[in-house]
Amino acid sequence: MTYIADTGFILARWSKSAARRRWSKHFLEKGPLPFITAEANLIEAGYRLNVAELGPRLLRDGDYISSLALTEHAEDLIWLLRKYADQEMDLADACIVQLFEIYPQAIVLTTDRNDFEVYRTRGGQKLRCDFAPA
Amino acid sequence: MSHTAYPIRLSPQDHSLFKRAAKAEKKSMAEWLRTAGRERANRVTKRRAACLDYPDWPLSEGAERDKHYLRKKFGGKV
Repeated sequence: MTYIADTGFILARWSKSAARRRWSKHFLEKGPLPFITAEANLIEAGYRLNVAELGPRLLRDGDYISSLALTEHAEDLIWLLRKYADQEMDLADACIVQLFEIYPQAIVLTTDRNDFEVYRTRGGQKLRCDFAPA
Repeated sequence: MSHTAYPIRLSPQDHSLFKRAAKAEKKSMAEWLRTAGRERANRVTKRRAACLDYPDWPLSEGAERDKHYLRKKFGGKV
């Protein structure tokens, strides 16, 4: 199984909620590693946790792999951001949706049920997600 | 003790690509393929994430909440 990690999943390891920590630990212990993500999500996670080295450290240690080249997917990302402008989709979310387009067999690990239940890929596909406990 | 385990057939494109990469790293193609295979195998067979052993950095309640909360707090996109 391939997993795509949204920012919320990356951060869940440090969650104040025991249920969320258990949810993330379940995947972090079983793998398979690395989880797929995008640089935008790693940067966002580092910013929210206030640990600048978080992203590079997770990449160096092989927990995550950044699999989306913004240059290559710029057109699709702009399309998604415009389509979901009403929902104020941000770049990190758009990257996750685009990653699902690239890896349609994957499961998206996210804490953001409100948005990810609505998002569709450019091809109209609903994302398969595993949501964190509330 | 080493042994030949898996002779492989390569397409001309792969052969040329691997040979160029090996040359750039001053390795024989066999050594380059061994290194690439080892790195990939380590990644695939690794089970437990390193971040489980990172420090327990404090994650503020606000930073953990979803983006709707952050948007409200900062009054714009996050």
